[in-house]
This record gives sequence, C-alpha cells and structure tokens, in this order.
Amino acid sequence: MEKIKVIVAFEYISRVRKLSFLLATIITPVLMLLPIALSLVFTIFGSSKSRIMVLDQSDVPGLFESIKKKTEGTTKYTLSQVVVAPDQNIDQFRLRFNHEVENDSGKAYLVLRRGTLDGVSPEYYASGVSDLGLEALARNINLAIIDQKLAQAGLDPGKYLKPLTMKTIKVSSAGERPEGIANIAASFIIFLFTFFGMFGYGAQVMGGIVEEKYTRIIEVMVSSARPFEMMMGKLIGIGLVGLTQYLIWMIAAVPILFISRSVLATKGITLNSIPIGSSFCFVIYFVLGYFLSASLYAIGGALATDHESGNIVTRFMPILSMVPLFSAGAVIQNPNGSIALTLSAIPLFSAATMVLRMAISSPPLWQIILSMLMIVTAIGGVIWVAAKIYRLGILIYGKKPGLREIVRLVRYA
Amino acid sequence: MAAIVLRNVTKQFGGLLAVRNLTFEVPEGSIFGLLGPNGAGKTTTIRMIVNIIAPDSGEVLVLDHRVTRHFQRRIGYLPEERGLYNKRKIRDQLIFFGRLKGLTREEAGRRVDDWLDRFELSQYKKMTPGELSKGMRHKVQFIAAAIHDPDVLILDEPFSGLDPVSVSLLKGVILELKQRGRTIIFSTHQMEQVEQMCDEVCLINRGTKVLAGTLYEIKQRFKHKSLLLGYSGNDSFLGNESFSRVNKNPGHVEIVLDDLMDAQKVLLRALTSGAVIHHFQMVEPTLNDIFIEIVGEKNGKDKGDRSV
Repeated sequence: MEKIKVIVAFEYISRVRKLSFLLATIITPVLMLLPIALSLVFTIFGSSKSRIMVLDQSDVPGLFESIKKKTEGTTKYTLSQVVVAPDQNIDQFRLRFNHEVENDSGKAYLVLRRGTLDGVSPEYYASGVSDLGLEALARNINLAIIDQKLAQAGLDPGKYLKPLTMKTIKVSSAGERPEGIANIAASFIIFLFTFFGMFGYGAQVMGGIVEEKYTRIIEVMVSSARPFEMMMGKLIGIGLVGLTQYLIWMIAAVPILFISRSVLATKGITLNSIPIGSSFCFVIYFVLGYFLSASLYAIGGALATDHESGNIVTRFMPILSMVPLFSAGAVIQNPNGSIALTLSAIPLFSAATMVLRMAISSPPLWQIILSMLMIVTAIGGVIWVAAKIYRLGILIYGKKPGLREIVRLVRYA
Repeated sequence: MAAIVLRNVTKQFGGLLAVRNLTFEVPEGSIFGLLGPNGAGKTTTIRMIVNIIAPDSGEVLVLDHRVTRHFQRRIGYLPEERGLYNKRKIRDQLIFFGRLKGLTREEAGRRVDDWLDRFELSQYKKMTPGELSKGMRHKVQFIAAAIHDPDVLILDEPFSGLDPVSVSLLKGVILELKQRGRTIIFSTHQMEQVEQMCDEVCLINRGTKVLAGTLYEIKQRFKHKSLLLGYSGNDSFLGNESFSRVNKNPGHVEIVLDDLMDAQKVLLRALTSGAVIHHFQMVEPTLNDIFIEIVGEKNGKDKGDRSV
C-alpha cells in the first residue's frame, strides 16, 4: 500500500506540474469548442455584412423596401435595388452580373421577375449558395410578398402577419424541458470531453509502461516494488491527473454555460442547465471508463517489447475506443434506441455512451446503476488479468509475444 | 561470511544457454568484479542476483537469504544503461527511487542533495536527464542505486561512458562504501578498474566460469612475466623462437618470457646485436593480458577449461 502511494504521488505530481498538462487543459477545450462556437456565432450574429444586389423587375411598389426592412439588421445582408424596366430582357442583363460573381466570390444577386407576386419564384445567384442565412432571407421575401398581398386586399398586415417560431420541448422523467440545437451541441461537447479524457489518459498508462520498459527503469522498480503495486500506482496516478483535468473543465464550464445561456436567451434560444446529479454521474462514468480502458492499455504496455509497442491490445484498442464516438450521432437521434441500449450494455463503450445519453435525455435509473455495476465488474476482471500479465510481461524484451504466449502468461502467472 | 552466493546457477533463454552451472561467492565487505567479454552472461547473472529473473536451476542467496520483496531494501542495483525517466526532474525522480526503497520524503530529499553535491550535480537538479550528458546521467543513475545505503550494491558496467575525472570520483565513492562495510559487485570489461579496486574477480565466458579468485592468486597462477624494452636501431634480436609472444610497437616492444628465458639474456642479446636500449622494465601480467589470454580467440578453446 505504502509503495502504491509513493508511485501515485510521483506519477501525479510530475505529470500535473508539467507545462504540457497546463497547455492541454487550456488548449484542448479551445480546439474542441472553437469550431462549434464559431459556427454558432456566424449563424446567430452573422459574420461580416454581405451585400446583395436585387435585380427588381417585379414592378411592385414597396416590395423591395419591405424585404430590405425585414432583412437588414436581423441578418448579415444589406440589400440594394437595381430596377429593371419591364420591357428589358432580364436574363441578358444577368450576364453582366454573372461575370462579376465569377470574379468576386463575395458578390451575390437576387432576381425578382415579373409576376413575383403571382407565384414566380425569386432567384438567388452567388458562387456559394449554402449560406446558413439564406433561409431567413427566403422567409423575409415570402413575408414581404404576403404583406403586399394583404395590403392590396385592403387588410392591415400588422394585424394578420405575426410570424411565430415553434418551441421544441423534451418530455422525460425529469419533467419537461425545452430542447433544441444548442442543447444537443452542449450534450455533444460534454460527451467529447468525457470520451477523449477517459481513452486519452488510458492510453497514457500504456505510454508510461512502455517508457519504463524502454528505459529499463522497470528493472530498478522490480527490485523495489511488486509488479501489482507498480501497475496500480500507475493506473491511479495517471487517473488522478485525468480527473483533475476533467474537474477543471467542469468548473470552467459553469460560467461559460451561464454566459452562453444569457446570450442565447436574447436570441430566443434556450440552453438547459445540467442537473447536479447528472454532473456527478459524469464524473463517476469518467473514472470508471478511464479505469477500464487504462487497465486494458496496461496489458498492452506490459506486452510491448522495448523497441516495438505493437501487439494485439495496442492495435485494437484505438479502433475499439472510437466506437462510442462514431455512434454518437445515432445515440443523439434516439437516446433510448437499440443502438444506444446495446452500447450501454458493453462495458468498454458504456461509460461514454451513458454520458451522452444522460446529457441529452434521461435514461432510467436502473440502466444507470446496471451499467455502472457492469463496468465495475469488467474493471475487476481486466485488472485481475492485467496483474498476471504485468508480473511477467514487463520483463519481456526483444521477442514479440503472440496470442498463445499471452494465454500462457495468464494461466501460469 | 559471504554476502552473495551462487550455487550451480543455470539460465537458458530459448535455445541459448546464457549462464551454465555458475558457482561463486562474494565475501562480505569486499569489492567483487564480474568480468567477461560482451555476451558472456554478466548481465543475466546480475539480473538473477537482484531477482529480476529467476534461474532455471541452482540457487542465489544474498546475505544468506533468497531475494524477496522485503529483502530488496538492502540491495541497490544499477542497470547497465538508461534507467532514468527522461523527462522528469532529476531531484524529483531520485527522491522517488529513495521512497520506493522505504525512505521518508525528508530523508530521501536530504540524501539526494548530499549525493548531488558530492557528484557536483547540484546545479542540474531541476533539469531532466534528457538535458544532461551521458556521463552526468550515469552519475545520477548511480545515486538512484545507492540512495538507500544498501548493504549490497550491484553495479552493471558502472564506469562505461565516464570521463577520467568522473571515473576517479566514482571509484572513491565505491572504495568509501567498502570501508563502511558494504559489499559491492560490479560487472565490467575494463580491466584497469578491476585491478585497482577489486578484491576478488570471477571471469565468465559464454556463460561459464573460466577463472575466479583473489587478484593475488590469479596473478600467481599466471606468473610468467613480460619484459618491456624501449630501443632503436637493429631489431634482429626479436627473431628468437623462444619468445612465446611479442607485442611490437614502434620504438618499444613487450616480450612475454617463458620460464626458461631470462630477461638479462634478452638484454644482452639485444645489446650485442647492435640495438640501442633506452628503456628496460620487468612487468607483471596485467589482468588485461590474462583476460585476453583466456578469452582471446586463439587460445580460448584449449585454456577455457582452466578454472579454480
């Protein structure tokens, strides 16, 4: 016990004190959040203003002004009108604009043909037409046309035209709570941090063991401590480093969540808070998921030779651990569907998958408890095997062990 | 009393017989040299002594005990190379190794500082081994092995890669440990260190003991002397068949004399043949000569069986 403590303290302190730990703690969230944050900011607030020329042959007085009024200020677009006389060939006219669009990707133009009011579609021309703001522009054109029609019919548009947005509300055992794209994004972020943390630090255990074999420190340690103490010291020490980082991220997430929530609220988007109970479960899942992957990786490290780390564990673990990430989309779509349930029942995938399910929905309590018990059982089994392999495997040098030798190690250790 | 006893120890790796029926004893409080060419089985023998690997047959006793976990505290071990965390601070990892051997944090810290001071490494204690020279790393490694003041210190190639100043520093430390009653066993193929320090040696070749005993005994057994002559001019006196071996260098020559040949006669012959002699010295065989004679390829086979 005493030696485990010494190893834990050494592993923990020397890793946490390293500059790379500090950098990883700061840079990882930035790298992970930046693309999401940027796309959210661009969508919601618009990037730089982009100008759209409107070739207007509709001959409807006030239509352009109405579109302009609805669009400018709420989107990133500014509109300017080019009136095209009814007797001109507008397609001929377009050629000149096409030329400009070809030469300048920032340019775009909109065509309102004769009969726009009677169902002729407006046309948008640009070098890129996948702009997220276009939907709002199209809606504004429609609203402007309806405005005009109501006015022509002698009705007050202000009285009949009040566009509504639909609220989406998730029903679960925890009660009703508003759900939307922002909440899905937030859940996915929580999942990503947990997922990369548990498997990333698990892999570090292997790196640490391979280093000790390569540097022959293992020989000095074997003559000072029992292999089981060495393995547990490493597992716990590196696990605490991972947990420290995870908790730092969690605490840092509180103000970020709070600020995003109030900013998003001004745009009519609701972002849920994460219940304390769920956060607590995330930490437990993180620790369990880490221990399972780390003890598997410890086997990989113990089987590695001093000049080559490739073996059955190191080859398949990185691929297997990606399963929860690749199936995250399916789990988000249906957090209680068969894919989600299957993954929750497999210990190696269960921790990450359950975190995603808990972030996005409310899985039944029995599933949470059962999954935790299953992971704990799996950890017990893997550590039992790992300890046996570790005892002999750490001194394997030179020759790469095959599957048969691995089985032999477990049976006779 | 013997600090280390090996009895009929054999270790095989796959088809390779690394150590064959090896028996020797290391007296307590002595410095013992384990000698042999590369691949002779020195490191395998040492690993069995520190219980990293178990012998296939035979027995290893350290201080009258089989090496177990509780006993490891009384042994210090310096592996042949590396043996340090490359990216962790020197002082931190030395304290770690000390604590693994059961020292308290304070005690380990105090001893590490003393040792670093002694090896003139104090200014590097916040650096990592990756930032140090090979020789400095080696000294740090030695501290890691000796930090808990073990009764038995086992050093695998302790002098490799050290400059002359560091070699004499380390020699001083080892001799001082001996004076304090510690037993030191080290492997090497650098014979000068052995001659200057060891009380007893064991020479192994291809996993088998070929020679063992005190330096005095061994030198007695190989007592034929050699003659070092510095000369210029005519060297026809060297063409004598009764010289069993002649090592000729420009300007001086080393002649191994067999029992019948008198050094005075060689001198006389050299003078009469017209050579100008400016150096004449009788030399005892060095351990290096004995080593080469036994292990050397020419006579390795027929003399390989000669052992105590």
